[in-house]
Amino acid sequence: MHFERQKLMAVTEYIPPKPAISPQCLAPPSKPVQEETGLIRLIRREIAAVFQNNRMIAICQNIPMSSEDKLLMRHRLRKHNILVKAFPNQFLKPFLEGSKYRNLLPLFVGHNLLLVSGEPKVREMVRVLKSVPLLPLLGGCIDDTILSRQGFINYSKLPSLDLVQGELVGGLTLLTAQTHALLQRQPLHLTALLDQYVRQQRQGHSAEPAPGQPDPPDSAPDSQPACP
Amino acid sequence: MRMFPFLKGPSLNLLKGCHLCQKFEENLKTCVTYEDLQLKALGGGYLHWGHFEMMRLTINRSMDAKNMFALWRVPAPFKPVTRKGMGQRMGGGKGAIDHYVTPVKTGRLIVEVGGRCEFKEVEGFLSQVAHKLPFPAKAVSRETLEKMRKDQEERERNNQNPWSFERIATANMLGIRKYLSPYDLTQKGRYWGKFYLPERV
Repeated sequence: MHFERQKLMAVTEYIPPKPAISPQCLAPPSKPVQEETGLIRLIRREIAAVFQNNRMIAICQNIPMSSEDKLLMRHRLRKHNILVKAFPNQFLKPFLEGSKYRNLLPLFVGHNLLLVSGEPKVREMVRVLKSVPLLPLLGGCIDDTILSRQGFINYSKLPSLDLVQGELVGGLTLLTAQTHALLQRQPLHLTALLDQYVRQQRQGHSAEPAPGQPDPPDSAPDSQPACP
Repeated sequence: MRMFPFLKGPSLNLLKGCHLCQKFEENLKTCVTYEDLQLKALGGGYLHWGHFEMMRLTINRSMDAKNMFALWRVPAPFKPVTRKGMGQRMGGGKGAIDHYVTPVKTGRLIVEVGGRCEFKEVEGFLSQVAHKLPFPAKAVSRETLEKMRKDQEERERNNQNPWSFERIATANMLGIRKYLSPYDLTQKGRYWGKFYLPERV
């Protein structure tokens, strides 16, 4: 094409009309509401079941590890009966808003995994997660109590229930035991003195004047009873 | 479709007034539906026998013979194309006829399909054929043709460019007709040789 003709073609190109308000300023046309597919309903049901059935729910960050490492972790957790679940945040968030776990919402940002189990085996879980150099534990909920990462570590450091019960019982009965001991102290002291006297008499009869017997060994009972 | 035009028999021009042609047209009018599914050329070129065979085989394979029929809207190749033998020097007269072709201009209909069928059923294989032709082609129906025409008119109407090819060429602004052909006055910059430029207004 001759250059003049090219210029003419360039000058006489089509210029489309611009609308008065540019489409960027206007609200975008609303997308047709997608029907809820069976998969979405299934995911919702699963989330509800998870939050219903499990006592311990911990949420940890879904760090990009190699898949074999992740599988190893899953295996170790599975040995302690802890399941690793991943749900899309899109469905998890509205569910949490509706349920009582509203305060867990700020945790569910970005990729995350749910570690759920029936029994709160926190110590094993923390140990497994410690084996990974980064401990991505964000927080979670045990028995409807929201705990942060520090809370989980503290929970794991707590002794077992029996020990704690024993301690509690011991603490409660401490006062009564003390009063019992205080009450019993005087008659015990009296009987000890009488026993000593009887022994002395017997020894005095058997052996002639012995020098003054040394004081009975328990000669410091008059001091104040030390209160622990 | 013949590879070579049949020159020994009566020519088609003589048959135009003949009852055979009339009967053919009557048949067209009394068909179940008017065929309005066509293959339209958007560029110019030559169709040779290989193209015809390809079209024939593809369409015969893909269409439903019970409910559809197809018609040729281009004649068999009649234009001779000459070739000289390989390695021959220039001169020595014009070469011998090698094969025949059908010239096709822009906007011509190549094939029409009709019968008890919709555009969507036919569009598939017609566009397959269209892509194999040596010029750009498109499967159209009466409605799509109408739409194309209307779109073009609307573009012409709401073009914001105050300068149009037609205006500059007919007024010979800047002496531009020195570089334009007399045909550009009617073609208005939408055609360039065998090419059709659909985006031009």
